[in-house]
Amino acid sequence: MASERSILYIDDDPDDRELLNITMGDLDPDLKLVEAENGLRGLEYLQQAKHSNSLPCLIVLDINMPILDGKQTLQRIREDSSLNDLPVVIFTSSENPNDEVYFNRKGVKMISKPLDVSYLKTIAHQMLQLCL
Amino acid sequence: MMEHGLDNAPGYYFSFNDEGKILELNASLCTDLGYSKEELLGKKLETLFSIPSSIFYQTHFFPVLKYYGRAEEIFISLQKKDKEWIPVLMNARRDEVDGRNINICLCITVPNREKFEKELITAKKEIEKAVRENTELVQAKNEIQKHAEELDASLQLLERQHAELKQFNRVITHDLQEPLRKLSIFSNMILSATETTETKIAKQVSKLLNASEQMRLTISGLQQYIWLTETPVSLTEVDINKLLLVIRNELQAEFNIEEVQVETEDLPAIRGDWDQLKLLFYHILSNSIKFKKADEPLKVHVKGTILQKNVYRSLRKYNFKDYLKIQVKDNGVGFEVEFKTQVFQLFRKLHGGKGKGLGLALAKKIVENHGGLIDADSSPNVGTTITVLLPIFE
Repeated sequence: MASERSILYIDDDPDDRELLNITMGDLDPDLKLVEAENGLRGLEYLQQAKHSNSLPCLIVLDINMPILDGKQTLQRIREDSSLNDLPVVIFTSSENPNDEVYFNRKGVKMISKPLDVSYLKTIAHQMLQLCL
Repeated sequence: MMEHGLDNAPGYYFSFNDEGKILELNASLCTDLGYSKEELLGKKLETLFSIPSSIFYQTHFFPVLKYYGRAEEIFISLQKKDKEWIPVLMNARRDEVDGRNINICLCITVPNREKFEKELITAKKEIEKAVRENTELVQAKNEIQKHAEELDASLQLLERQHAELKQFNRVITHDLQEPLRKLSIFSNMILSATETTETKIAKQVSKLLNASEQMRLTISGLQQYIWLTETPVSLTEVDINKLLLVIRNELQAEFNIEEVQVETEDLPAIRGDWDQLKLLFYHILSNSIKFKKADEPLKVHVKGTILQKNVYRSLRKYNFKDYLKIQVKDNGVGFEVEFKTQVFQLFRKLHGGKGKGLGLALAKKIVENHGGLIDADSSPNVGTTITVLLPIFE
């Protein structure tokens, strides 16, 4: 049996996690959205998933988080040879132009958190397309 | 006739009467000065002397000799026929021969005396110069040090302000955007929903309220922080023991708990801003309460010691200052110490839910306002120790 398709969503904001979870669930009921409240928890999950051969097809990463923020988390993912192939998108409400420059340089797409539900659906759809 | 020995002695012998006429002189003197005996006998004594020595002879030497009957260790210069000077050391004695006064003088040459004197004078001048230059060097060094300290203080201030600006930037670009975005998205959800139940609407409205409350708290936190940045400290004598008791009572009332065990050791008074210091320890102690372990009674120990700290590494240069070190140690939930720099940043939280991420940022600001330092040490499930260093002002 093929292992379950999943996306790992690392974000400290419970509202955002809930919204994306609902939206994703509407678009693709077979996809599992794994939530982690900060970078450290996210990395712990990835280690565990690595051993059980159930790595997610996409990592969605917030920037501003306690403990390990988005930049530090991305850095650690990239340093791990068994994880650095995984596609990552940054999903943030940050409007700091420096962040955009930073992630562009790392070759990572940055998506702004939406202001309305229909746009959230569009975004979720884009994310699913990255998750092949 | 003079004896041969005296005539040719390695020194000069001569005598003169009270009228200043030369009565006798030895051959050594005549030879060295370049005269014959006949040229000098009966001449005025000044013929033998240099002009300054002639003056000295008239004003000092002869009056002393006449009064005391002797003069010793007189340094004068004889003058040769060719005007060259011969420095000599002279002793003189007065005697009476046949009822007439006779003044007898004996000189030895001291050709090197002048050289030694000159050397002494030069050495003395050099010493004086060296001392003067050393003083100037020390002064210059002190001034450089003072400038360096001033620069250092400015640099630290700039670094602090830069770090603050970065934090403000984060607050504006993220912490304030976040609730705004939520207000927007949840309003939008209510408006665009095709089928809604009252429960669903109530849930979304409560999210709207949460978001606006989060925004209000962020703005009020920012205001408190800026207030602490802009309000100068007003220094008075602050009794830390008393301050801690006041805070403890306030906290017991606020958190509705029977007893916060605050053990203090005798802490010295310091000069500080009472209101700010109260706020400082309020935030530190209220964190201990907020992050207490659920299954264990909270214990807080406050310890104070005086230490001398080199300002170089901390504040961070040159001078030694006395500091009051206050350590607040609790047995709460603690945190991973590698993330400790985050706990002092505005609106950064290590524990989801509890707290606003404001207290320790304000605490750091207050400590900096007092020219002090704050640090944290912690271990998950063991507890947290917050260390505050406050300079003891003279």
